[in-house]
Amino acid sequence: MAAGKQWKRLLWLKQPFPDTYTDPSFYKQWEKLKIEHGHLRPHSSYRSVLLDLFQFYHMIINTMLLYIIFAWFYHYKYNPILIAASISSVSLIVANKRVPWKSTIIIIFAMLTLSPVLKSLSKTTSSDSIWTLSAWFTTFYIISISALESKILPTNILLSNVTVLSSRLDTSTQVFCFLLICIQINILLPTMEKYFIKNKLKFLHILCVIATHGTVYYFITKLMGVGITIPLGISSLLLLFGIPHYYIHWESYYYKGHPILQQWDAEKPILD
Amino acid sequence: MNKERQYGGFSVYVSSTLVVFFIVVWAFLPKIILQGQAIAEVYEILPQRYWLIAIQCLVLMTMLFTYVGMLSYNIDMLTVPLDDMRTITDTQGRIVEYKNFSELDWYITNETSGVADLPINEVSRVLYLQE
Amino acid sequence: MAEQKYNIAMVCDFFYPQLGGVEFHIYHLSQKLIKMGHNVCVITHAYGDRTGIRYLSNGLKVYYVPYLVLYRQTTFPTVFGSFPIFRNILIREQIDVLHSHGSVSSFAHEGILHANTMGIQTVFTDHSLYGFDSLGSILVNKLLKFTLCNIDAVIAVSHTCKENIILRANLDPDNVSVIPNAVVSSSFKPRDSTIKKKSNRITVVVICRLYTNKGADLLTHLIPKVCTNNDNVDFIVAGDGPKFIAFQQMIENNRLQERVQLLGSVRHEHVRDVMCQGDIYLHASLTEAFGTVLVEAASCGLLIVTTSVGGIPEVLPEYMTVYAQETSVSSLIKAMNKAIHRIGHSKVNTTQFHETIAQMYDWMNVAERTVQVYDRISLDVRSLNKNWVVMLKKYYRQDGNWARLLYVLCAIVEYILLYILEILYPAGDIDRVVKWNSRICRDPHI
Repeated sequence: MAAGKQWKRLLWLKQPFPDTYTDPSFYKQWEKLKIEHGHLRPHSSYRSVLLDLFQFYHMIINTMLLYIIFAWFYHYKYNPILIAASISSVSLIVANKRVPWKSTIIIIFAMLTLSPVLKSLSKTTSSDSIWTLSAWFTTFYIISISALESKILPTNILLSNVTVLSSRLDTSTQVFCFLLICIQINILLPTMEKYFIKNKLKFLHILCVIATHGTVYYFITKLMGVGITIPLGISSLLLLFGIPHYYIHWESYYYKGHPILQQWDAEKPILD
Repeated sequence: MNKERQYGGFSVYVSSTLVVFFIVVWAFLPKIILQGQAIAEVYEILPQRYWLIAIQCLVLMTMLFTYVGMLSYNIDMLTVPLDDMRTITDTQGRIVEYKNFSELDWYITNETSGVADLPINEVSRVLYLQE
Repeated sequence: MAEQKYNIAMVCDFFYPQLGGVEFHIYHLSQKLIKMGHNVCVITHAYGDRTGIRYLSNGLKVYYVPYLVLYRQTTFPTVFGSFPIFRNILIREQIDVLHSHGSVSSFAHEGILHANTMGIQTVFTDHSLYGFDSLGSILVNKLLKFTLCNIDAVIAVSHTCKENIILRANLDPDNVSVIPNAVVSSSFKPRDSTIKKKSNRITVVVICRLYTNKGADLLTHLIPKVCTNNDNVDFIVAGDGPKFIAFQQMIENNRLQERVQLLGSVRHEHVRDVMCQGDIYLHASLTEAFGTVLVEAASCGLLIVTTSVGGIPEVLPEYMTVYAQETSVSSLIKAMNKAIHRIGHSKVNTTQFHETIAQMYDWMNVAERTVQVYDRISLDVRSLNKNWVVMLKKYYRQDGNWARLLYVLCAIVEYILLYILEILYPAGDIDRVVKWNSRICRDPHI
């Protein structure tokens, strides 16, 4: 071998090295990779995983609010207009700054027109089927909203869910109010929370989270009794704090990705 | 972005493990345990044991049939008969054009930069004609 | 030692009439191997009515095996399904070396398995880069670990590609050679220098399939900006794909009909003519193992502007290229401006590019280096590499508690199948073909 010549990582240059020559720096990387795949693999901090998981949990709780509203109308027969009016005014106050008035009014009128249709759309389907359908819609909603970047599919699933549930309500007014509240809660509430996080309004955010969780657990207690709430609460807490441990364990022993291995992935385009 | 993918991978890992675990347990659980009152409600929600086992058998048999079916399909449907024109030429080939034999000989001993088919009668002459 | 001549089988799902990098690699490599006196046949699946056996110029024999195609011209993977036909062809052609191409080609994988079982030397060439953590790549990598477990030699098209495949398939680095692609420099000649360019306009050529991972999004953002910043720059975009509409929209939104030509897909033999209309070649790919098109463009005398991903930095010398530091619109624009400046002020002499490239990348050189690999593996032909028990042990030593059991199971079934086939169709009953390079009759027309 030509001793004086330094090997270069070039294909166009004819070099006095065999074709099987391997870059020495690659061996170093490989060694590092082997050691780290055995043990000592880099992994995320418990805190950050916990926070991310909490966000997921919070999203599920948010989705559950839909059923609480439904229970108000279906089970408790609360006055729909009163609830809708109060929630709408709250959301108007909160989202005061950037409301596209024109489209809001169009959407509201479209909903007004559609409410009787939605009410009768799946009237003949039996209630059991409706509950099953709604449960599946909720599952898909949660999966799609956490897996997809675009919000088009989740919103459609949400609307289908509301449509299906609407057929169990008594009057068109109820359907309209239900639709209005669901849209506000599922679309405006997350937007509001994002706004809080973005502007570092930590106190308001925590207040918002506590309010949602409080409402959901209160209604579970009211509907099904403490006998269900306590096991449910404990198991969700256990899962909430247990899954991050499991995740980190998985990351350090089973995960195939590694910072070194990512150098062969396709680059992300930066569209600035 | 990468973190989200990692979470996605984790959830796929956990859910597939859970599904396998569930299938194994559900398929092998003895019948006596399943007769209690408490289990009856759960029994209603979960997929029926019969179908769970039936679907697995179905998948296994489909794999077997795919083998036999695909091989027969390759031989009976895709393979053209020996007297078919497609065994010799096709619409996508570009057969070399030549004016005289010396031009043809050039194609026989030299490569073209694009793909060009040799006519089969010339190939047979080259390979099998005894001097 | 006298130069040994081999009977080589190239195996890949992708071959003419499909056109692409792998297809041309196989074609040109085979042609040069034939020229060196070896016998080569290509085994691929039937494309529509192109089925059976075809002889290409210079006597390159192609087997178009009738086989069910699953997705994007990849055959249905069954592990054992192709064994009868492969065994027949390998015996008929008296193959010494089976050379497979492409890690998403099921034919390539199955070919290696069958050849190993029959005691034939195997070589594998990888043409692209893969990740490690997505579901698809985990599956492909598991499959690679199975097939490459008993491979005799592996060839990668660039150093980046080599390191990628070593990690993906757990290979011994000394067994992986780096042999780049090449270009047929006679088909990529620069435009006639006697014809003077009419104006001082600069034309930028883009030839790629319009996919996201080829940088289509970057291009649609970049082209309007470059056009507004430089009044004397025009674009020619050739290629088709899912992002074609995005390009049309980009042109209409920015009223660039006069300055951006959208050609759609261009036949390979016309690529040179398109390239020669330009001064700069722009490449915005997000992943690339080698980038043959860059070499082709440089051979036509174009200055190259490219992202520096994957194996691209290894391909061309500094003075032919302007690299964008990252895959962002802003840094690509910076690189474009630099290139436009260089071309506009004639600071770069592109007339010598063609000669230089012709010396750097030549298929004959590729073929010679490939034959060196064949020589190396056929030296230990009598060793225990192809012993069934040794191969089984290697399968069992792979990691993955369940996977290795599956590997062993597949291998044993394969061995049993070989015996069954031997009973049904004895090797002695299979005709041996007359080889093109060893034919008796050299001059049939005299």
